[in-house]
This record gives sequence, structure tokens and C-alpha cells, in this order.
Amino acid sequence: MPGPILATANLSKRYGKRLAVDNLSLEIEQGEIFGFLGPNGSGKTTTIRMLLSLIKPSGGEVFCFGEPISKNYPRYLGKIGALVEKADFYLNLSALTNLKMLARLHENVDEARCREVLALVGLDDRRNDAVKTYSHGMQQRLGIAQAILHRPQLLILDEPSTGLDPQGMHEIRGMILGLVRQEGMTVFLSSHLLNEVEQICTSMAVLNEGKLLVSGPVKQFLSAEAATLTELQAQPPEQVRQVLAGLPFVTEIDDRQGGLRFRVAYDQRPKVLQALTAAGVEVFSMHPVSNLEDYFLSLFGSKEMAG
Amino acid sequence: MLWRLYINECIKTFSKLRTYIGFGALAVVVPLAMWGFSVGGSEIQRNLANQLGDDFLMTGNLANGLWASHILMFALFIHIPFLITLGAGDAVAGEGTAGTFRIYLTRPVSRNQVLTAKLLAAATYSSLLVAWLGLLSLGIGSLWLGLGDIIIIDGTGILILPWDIALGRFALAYLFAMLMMLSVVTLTFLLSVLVTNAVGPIVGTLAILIVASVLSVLELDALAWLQTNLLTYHFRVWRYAFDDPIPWSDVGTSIAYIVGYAGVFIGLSYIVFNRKDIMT
Repeated sequence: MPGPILATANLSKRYGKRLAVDNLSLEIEQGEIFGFLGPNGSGKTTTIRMLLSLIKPSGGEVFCFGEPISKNYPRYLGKIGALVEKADFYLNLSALTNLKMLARLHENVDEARCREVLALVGLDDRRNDAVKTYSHGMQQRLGIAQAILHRPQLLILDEPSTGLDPQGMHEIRGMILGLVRQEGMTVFLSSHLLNEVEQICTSMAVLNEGKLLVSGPVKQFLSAEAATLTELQAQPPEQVRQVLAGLPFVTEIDDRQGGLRFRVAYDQRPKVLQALTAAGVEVFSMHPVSNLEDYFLSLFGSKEMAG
Repeated sequence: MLWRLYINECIKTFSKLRTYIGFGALAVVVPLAMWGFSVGGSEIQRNLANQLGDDFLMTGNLANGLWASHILMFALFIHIPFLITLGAGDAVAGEGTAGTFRIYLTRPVSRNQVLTAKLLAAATYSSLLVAWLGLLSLGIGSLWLGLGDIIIIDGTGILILPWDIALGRFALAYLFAMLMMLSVVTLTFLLSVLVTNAVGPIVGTLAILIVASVLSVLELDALAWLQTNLLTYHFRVWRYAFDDPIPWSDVGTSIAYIVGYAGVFIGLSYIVFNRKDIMT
């Protein structure tokens, strides 16, 4: 079995007294869509800049294709495509000229390939227009185009959906999934959009204040959450609340419009139903709530990540 | 790869409007100055004849195109660095400000290669600017005021150079001037890798050159030891081309200083740029 395509070992970055990234160790396997999550200022972008040799680590090492990149970073950058934060280009030049300039820095990337990626992101008809005339969404799409220009094996995307409308976000996600399926790329996706990670990522890691909190397959986090968070539709509400409050294995009862949410262990759920029916409550539905947002709320205790 | 990077840097440099400010300014100033010389030429010639008439027999056109070009060199070589910093100042810092390093430095190229290409493009720009000045002043001067022998008067005496020899001296002077301006480019580069704001290197270079130039011309014995070691002191190297014989020893010393300063600036630029964290 081949080793991880990208890994970090005790990666750290210090700015004066502040430790922006603290002993971060990650492994991303080939073919994964790896979600890299964390609140604003958690060190995600700093980590990505270290992965791309834009900033030098204070400690630790980045390994790409099993070898430390510090020894010969240009060699590895040829296999990596990246979009770091928002896409910035030479605004007075056209999209095609921008891509042709970048193509010159790679072997075997010609003008036809520039046109091909522009068509892929839906910008071929605007290829000769100066980038300064592009909307934010068009610039982000051009950002994806420059990242995949040289058919990289690993694509590193730092919040690619930032500032896009729902349609734009949908298109970017479709593009990412298409690249993984059709080109076999591995994707490292930094995001604070939890539904984005939930929809397309196969594994993920969560960073907070520069430290790794958790990492693993996305399904693992979703199933763990499904076992505890539950939504209930039942009448009358006062009586429902009273019954739930009397059950010692039910916690975090939360009023919601049209229903209640509470936490209960998977094997205790039948007992909740028994107690409710015994008290004469009419139960319309009771189902586990399964999404990453709830997981993060439990992890961080706030809605900061939901941003 | 370096050639491809150089092509890219030339595209970036020459696609910006600000690159042409210097060329445009010279295209206005030089013809205007030549017009001034043509209007006041007879008076200038009378003054020269009055000053030198007792000792020399004056014939022909003294206020000719070569003479005017030589006068212009004095005036413009002080100001050309201002124009050069406009073009070269944002070579590195401008990319930081625009955020384009994020797409450019994440390519299979080393930072040394990128900086070398930028330096070569900026050197091309500054050399073209000096060549443009030469072309304009000698071309327009010769066409408008005519060719003729050139009289050079300085503190040490009077030198009369036949026009055919003078043309060679102009070529040498412009070559030295290109070298001077390259040292200005390297200073601008050093400041450009130190900051992320494109205005900083422009203002910084000008501030350093102005202070150093003032120190270079102050006639104070206490500063003599410093003056000869300042970069701007050796900016007089182009003037040696109009001495007879050319003081090659002084030329060599000045060129050594200019190349030495440029080498230090370039070396520091590479060290700083390789260690620089791209935060923008």
C-alpha cells in the first residue's frame, strides 16, 4: 500500500510569542478529499502556506510523496496545484495571458491546455478579457483553472467557496468532485463551511488555536453524532418537556420551532419512547440528527464554525 | 526556465502603464530642452566666444547637438534614478501587495530563479530608459542643432573634442550610466524584498539617494573619508568619458564601487527573499 501523498510531522509556526501552528501531524492518503476545518484564526491558512513553501516552518517538516519538501520544494510544487485564499491575478492582463504565463513555469503545458481549463471552468468565451473586469466568482473559477493547469496529483484549496453565491459554491463542489473522479486527484480542502466538508470530503481534521483536535474519516464523526443528538416531534410540548426532564439519560434539551432536540445515547432511545407513550404523549416522529454542524457545536460549544 | 521566467517578467513590466512614465517624461523633456537650446543658442555661443575669444579662434557652431546633449546628461542623470524606481520599485513588493505570489511561487521554480528573472527584467527596463535618453538627446540634438565639435569646460580646464571622437565618448558615457542605474535598480530591489508595499521601495530608494547625493557634494573635509565611499559619489563615472585622456584608474575605482554596492544589494536581496514568509 502506498504511503500518504502528503503528511506533516510536528509542523509548527511561531510568530513572536504566538504559536500559530503547534506540532501538527497529518496524513492525507492518495485519492482522498481531505477536509481541513477550523474556526477563523485557527492556523489553517498558515498550515497551507507551509505545505506550499510560501512560509517557512519554525519546526517540523512537510512530506510530499514520502519525501521532505524542504530539500527540493520546486520539484514537489510541480505535482501540486493550489488556490490559497482568494484568487489574485495580474489584473491588467487577460485570463489567457495569465494562464500562459503560469504555463511557462511547467513542462508540457501549452496554450491548448490553457484553453481547455478555461473551458472547464466556463471562462473560455471571456479568455481575452482583462481579469480586472471579472466578477469575484469568475476570478475564483479562474483560480481553480490555474490550480489544475498542469494536471497536478494533489490539489490544495484554501476556502475556494469564499464569497461565492450558492450557485457558485455548488459549481465549485461539482468541479472538485469531477476532478477526483475523472483525473484521480487527491484534494486537500480547507474550509469553514461544514456542509461543504460533509457533502464532499472523505476524511477530515479539525484545527483550533493551531492544535489538531480530531482527525479521521468524515463518516466516523457523523455516526458518532447520530448516536447522541435526536430530534423529536410530539404533543403536547409542556408534557414532553416534563417527561424528558425527568429522564436522567437525556441531556441538553433544546426548544426548537416545531420540535425538540436533546442528546441521548443510541441504546437509551427506546426508553425515551416508552416514557413518552406511558405519559400519554403523542409522538409523531423521533430521529437522529446527523450533521457536522452539530458535531462542531459540541466540539467548540459555539456557532463560530457555522459561519 | 530562467528565460521563460524572464519573458514573464518582461510581460508584467511592460504591460503596466507606470513603466512608460519615464519614457514619456523623457520624450517631453528632451525635445523641450533642445527647443530651449535652439532659441537661446546664439546667446550661448556669444557668451562662449566672449569667455574664450581672447585665447581661441572660435569658428563653427559651438552650441551644437552634441554640446546640448552633454549639458542634458548633467541634468538628467540626477533625475533618471527617480524614473527607474517607478518601474523597478514594485517588482517584488508589487506582487506582495497584489497577492500574486500565491499563484506564482507555488510553481516548480525556485525563489532564486524568480528573483533573478525579476532583476534581469528591471535591468532591461533601466538600460532601455538610459538608451532612450541617449537616442532622444543625440538624435533630436543632432537633427535640430546640428553636429559639431564639443567644448567641455570644467574646474580643471577646457577640452575640445572633435565630433567623431565625441560620439564614441558619448557611447562610453551612456554605458557607464547604464551601470550606475543598474546599481539603483539593485538598491530598489533590496528595499522591494524587504517590504510588501510597492510605494516603500520607491520612496526609500529616493530618500537614500538624495541623502547620499547631498553628502557626496558637500565640501567638508570632515566628510571626505565618507564621500569617496558613497555609491552616489561614484555616479560621476560617466563624466570621466569626457576627460582626455580618460582616467581609466578612476573609472576602474568607481566601477568597482558601483559593482561592489550592487553585489551587496543583490546578495542581501537573495538572502532576504529566500527567507521571506509570503503572508499576503
